[in-house]
Formats: sequence, C-alpha cells, structure tokens
Amino acid sequence: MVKTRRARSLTKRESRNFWLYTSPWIIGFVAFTAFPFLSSFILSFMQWDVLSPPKFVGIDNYVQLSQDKTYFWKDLNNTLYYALIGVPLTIILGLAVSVLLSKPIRGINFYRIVFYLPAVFGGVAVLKLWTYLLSPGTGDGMNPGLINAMLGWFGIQGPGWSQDPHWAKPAVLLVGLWGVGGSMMIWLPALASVPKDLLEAGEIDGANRFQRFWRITVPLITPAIFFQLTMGIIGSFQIFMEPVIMPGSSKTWTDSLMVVLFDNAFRFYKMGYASAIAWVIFIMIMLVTLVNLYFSRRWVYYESK
Amino acid sequence: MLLAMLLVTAMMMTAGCGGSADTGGGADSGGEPGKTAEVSFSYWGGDFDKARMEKIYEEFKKVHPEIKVNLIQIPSDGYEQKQLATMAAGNPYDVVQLAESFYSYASKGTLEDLTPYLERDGIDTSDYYDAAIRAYSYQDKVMAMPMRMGTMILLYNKNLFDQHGLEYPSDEWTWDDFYAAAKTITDPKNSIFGLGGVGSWWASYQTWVYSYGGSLLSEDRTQLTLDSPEAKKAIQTIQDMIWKDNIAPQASQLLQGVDMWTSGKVGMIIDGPWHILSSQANIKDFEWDIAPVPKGAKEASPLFSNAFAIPKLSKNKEAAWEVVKFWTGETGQKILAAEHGEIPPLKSVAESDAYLNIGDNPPANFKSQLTSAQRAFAPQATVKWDEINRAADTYLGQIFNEQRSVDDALAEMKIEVDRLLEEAKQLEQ
Repeated sequence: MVKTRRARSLTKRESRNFWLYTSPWIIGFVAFTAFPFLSSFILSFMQWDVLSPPKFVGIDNYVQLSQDKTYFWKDLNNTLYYALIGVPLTIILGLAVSVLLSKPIRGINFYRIVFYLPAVFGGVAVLKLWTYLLSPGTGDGMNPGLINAMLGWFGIQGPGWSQDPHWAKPAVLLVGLWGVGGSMMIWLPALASVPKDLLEAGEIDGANRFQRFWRITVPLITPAIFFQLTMGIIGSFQIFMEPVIMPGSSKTWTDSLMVVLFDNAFRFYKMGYASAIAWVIFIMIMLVTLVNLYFSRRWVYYESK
Repeated sequence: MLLAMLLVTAMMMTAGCGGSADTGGGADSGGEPGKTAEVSFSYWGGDFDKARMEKIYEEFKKVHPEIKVNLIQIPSDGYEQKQLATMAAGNPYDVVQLAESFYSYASKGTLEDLTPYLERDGIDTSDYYDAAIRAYSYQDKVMAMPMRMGTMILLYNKNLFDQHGLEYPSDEWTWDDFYAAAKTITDPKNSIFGLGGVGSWWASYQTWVYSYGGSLLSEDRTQLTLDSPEAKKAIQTIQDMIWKDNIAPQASQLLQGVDMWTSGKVGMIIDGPWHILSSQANIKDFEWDIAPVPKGAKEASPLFSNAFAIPKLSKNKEAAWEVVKFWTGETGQKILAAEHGEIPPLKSVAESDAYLNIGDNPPANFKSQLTSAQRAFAPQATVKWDEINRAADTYLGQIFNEQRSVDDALAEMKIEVDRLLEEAKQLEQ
C-alpha cells in the first residue's frame, strides 16, 4: 500500500515536532553531560595546564596515578574506609531510627521532624559547628569541645579528633552520621508497606519481637536496603565537603579521592591528570554498582515476582 | 559534584579552543594621548581593597582624564581560576594582580616584559625594596610592579614578658634569646605558650629555615635543599619546640574558636603583618609590640607581596602601563601608606611619615617593619609552587604533627619535590 502524500507529510511533521519538543533536553544533555564526559576521557590521555595547548601523552597520567602512593593511594584508602565503615553504619542507624519513628505514639510527628531536621540543615556552616563541637582537650585550662566535655562527665578522656591521626577519619564519619535521619524518607514507607497480617500471623505462631523483625520485616524491605546500599556507596566515593571543611591536622589523614581530583584540577591545573582520576573514580563506582546488582538477585526480594 | 567538575573543565576547553567569550579586554584603541582608552583592571580582595582602589582611581583621573579604568573586583576565592580562564580564552584583563602564581604566568610567556617601559620612563627599580622587585623578575626581566608587601614579624605580649621579668625582643635578638624567653613564659597546664602556632605553611617554617642559613631549593631551583644540615637543624628545632619543650602548642592543645594571640594566651607569634591591624582592633586586655624575627646564621624574613602585571595579549598595553605606573608610583603608594598596614614597596614612601606616623596607636615599634623589609627574601617560586607547598604540608606535617623523624620525612619529600622540579624543567622548555 502506497502512503498518500498527506500521510507522509504528517509523519514528517510529527518527527519534526518530536525533535523540536525534545530539543531542550537533548541540547542540555549534549552540552552539559555528553560533551564534558567525552572531553574528560580524551583529556585523560593528555597533559594540559589550561594555558598551553594540550599535549598527547598516552597512558602517562594513568601510570603516574598508579605510582602516586603519597596522595592517590592514601586517599583511595581513606575513601574505602568511608565507604566500608560509613555505609553500613548509615544503614543500620537509619533503619533503627526509622523503626522507632514508625511506632504509633503520641507526638510522633514532632519526633520525626526533630530527626529529619539535620538533613535539612547541613553544608559548610554545620561542618564548622562540628569542628567546634569536636575540639580536643579535656579541661585543665583548655576549653574542650562540647563532646569531649560531656565525655569528661563520665570520666572518659575524649580523643583529639581531627588533631589525632587515628581519630580524624572517625570524626569525618561521625559528622556524616548526624544527618542519618534524612534516610527516614526511604525507610518509613518501606516499613509501612510490610503487611500487618504477616506480622500478626508470626505473633500467633509464637515468634518474638526480634524474630518478627528479622524474619519478616527485613526480607520485605530488602529493596529499600538495596537502594540505600547502592546510593550510599556511590555517595561515599564522592565524599568531598566533609574532608575539605574538617581536615585532619595533616590533610592526608582525611582527604578523599574527590579532594585529590579537585586539587589537581583547580589548584595545580593538571587537567589531564585530574581527568584520569575522574575516570578511575567513575570506573570504580561502576564496578562496585554492577557487583552489587549482580549479588542483589540473591538477597533482594520483590513481592511482585 | 563529579559532573560539575567535568563541566568546568569542558568550559575551559572550549575557551582554550579559541572561543571568543568576551571576558576581559575593553575597547580596542591605541591609548595615544588625546584619544580615550579603556583599561580593564582586575584585582582581588574585600571592601578594604575596593575602597583603596577607588581612592587611587580618583587621583588617577586628575592626571589621566583620557584613560577610563574599569576596576573589576574578583573574590580571592576563585581569583586564580577566573584569571586563568580569561588568559586561556585569549582575552585577558589589561592589568592583573598577581602574587606567588606570578612565576607560572611568566614562565608560560603570558606576561609583558616591563623592562623597556621602565627604561623609557626613567623609573629606577632600586627605588623599590630589592626583594619585591626580585619576586616579580623572571630571567632578569621585571614583569610586574609590586603594590604591597609585608614580611613575617614577631609580635609579643608585653604583659607576659613583664610578668616573668623578661627583656623585650629587639632588632638584635637571636633565636637563642627567643627560645629562652619562650621557655620561661610557657605553662601548658594553663594553655599558656611562649609561641603561638607554627607549622607547615611556607612562610612559617621558612622563617626558621632561611635564618638558620638553609633554603627551600637550590639556587637554580632544580633541587630541594631542605635536607641540608642547616635546614634540617631548623626543622628539628621546630619539632622540638612543639614536642620536646612544648613552647609552641601541639595541634591538640590549640584552642578551637579562640584566637590564642589576641586572647593573651601566647607570649609571641611569628606571623604576617596583617596581625597589626587585627591586633589594633581586637586586643583590649594587654600591651603588645612588634619586632623583626630573631636572627640566626642570617637575617632573613619571608616576603609576602603582590604586584600588577600586563598580559601579553592585552590590547591596550600603553594605557595599561600608565595605570600600573601610577598605582605603584608615589601617589598610589601614599594612599596605601595612609592605612599604616602593609608596607609600600616604594622605599621613599615607606620611610616617610605618611607610613610611619601612626600617632599613639600601638605598636610603638611600628618602624621595625622597615628593618624586617630590609631583611626580606622573596620566596623561591616555581611553576610547581602549589604542589611543593602540598608536599611540605604532607611531610613537614608528619614531622610537626606525628613526631616523625626529620631525616625520614625529608628523604621522602626530596624524592617527590625533585620529581616535580624535573617536570617543571620540561614544562618550561
């Protein structure tokens, strides 16, 4: 069957309209995502200080990166620490807080607001505040931070936090955990979606409170756990603000991969080298996420399947 | 975060590929007399700086009505990025303010050599403090004219000295005198220390290194020389001050959110001249004064300064030169002098009452700033200035914060810095 001229012009017009209407997104995507993405890939094989023309150096940047024990490897180490310790802590604490906040008690909305507020505040000012709270010192002529002062009431000698090589990283994590209430947004609906009749059936069968939580609630909220785990890992690989605002006495104690990327790009103007770091971070996040997805099949339970 | 960074990079790239975003320059006119010329003049800083620049411009208008100056204030944070982006785009400001990053710009051939202009207009660079001119010379050519300078100075708390019956620091003080006094004042139990913070910031540790007869780099700037016996002794001394005798606070003894100097907790600080203005404003409970930093094998004090340069790609070099000449000349320097803060690099102004007469305000020994200026040395800047500072921060940080042995840390630092200097050499060819 031959299409009439009119039908043809209609499809033509339709396809033109399609491009016209999607153009804002397409132009935005190409200019602000695809182009920088590709440029940085090309740049990672070049040496470029912004002022002189870029020079092709092959895989030099990547080789240099693999040998940079003082900064890159150390910062990778710090970043893994933030991911391996910070993410599980965030999930466990976030879930624990949310379970408490899912109970139908009087004034629950007030408590929810209180726990959610830290996620609304945040940013540099709050980090500065934490720097004061976590001041070292324990009295005798010193003005200790509030945290150490409170530990002092219980006869505990507080650590030196950012000024102590062993405590600088935990200090950064602690500040991150303060906003843990923000994950309530994900946990509360997940907890609410656990069918009441299942929990009641468990109770009749003689399961105690802990067993009911562990055997019924947790399996049913695995999609939310998986989501939080994936986002948490991606987020912890990109941790930047905390180590910048709350560095240890030696920056190398706390610096993350993002900090070393930023320094190379915008302090030393080694754009090629910084791009190589960016790609290494990108590939690492990609791999971890894929591994995560692969194993998720074994433990994440979707009711619809 | 990641995306944002890629984005900026991409923007710089497009700029580098001859994009013609109109960022810097002004109207294209030769700046011959009788014709109006426009000069874009970028500087960093806050309200103080803005007021000073506008004051000088008022005077400039009277002399050069034919030149219109667009003063462009850029926040200190991000100043370098902005400057770099405009230069890379091939459309720089006509006059730019620079400090230690000067060397990078000069070595990449982006700045106009001012030597012919100076000769033509009969300006003698020996009228300026030597260190300030040397700081802005590249391969013996003057490429920027200094506007403001200062050096590390010693500020001391007279009350704490009196309390222990100690003699005040003088121009002739040695490091031994200093150490003895600091030891007497120190009382860690009550958070009282002889000396305030000392650390891996370049001007801080280099005060000791250079006056002990050491240096950061070799004369030709191809090797790290912090591992020379003199420099090692200086760095060991700093470590001892913090850990062995505790006359300077350890990191964990610093009072957060409290300025230990203005609150009278330390006998002395060795720091930049900006403390003079802030001390005048904030110290209420004790008497204080200043002195040059103590002497060791040499009389040396690190120089802070900034200067004005003209990018090679400026379209109004003649008019831009008139601006630089005026700002760093007598009138501009006198306006700076009236603040009684940083030292005007033009000696005749610095030595005049315009600068030295501060009335009844402390410090009584304000004049000792000039002694310090005579002893100043320009920091050994290289293309790798920022990266060498990071290395110092890392390795000296280990020495000062973690009591790592001086020999071990410096051996590692040398490997890293020598590699950076090797890179620098290749970049400059």
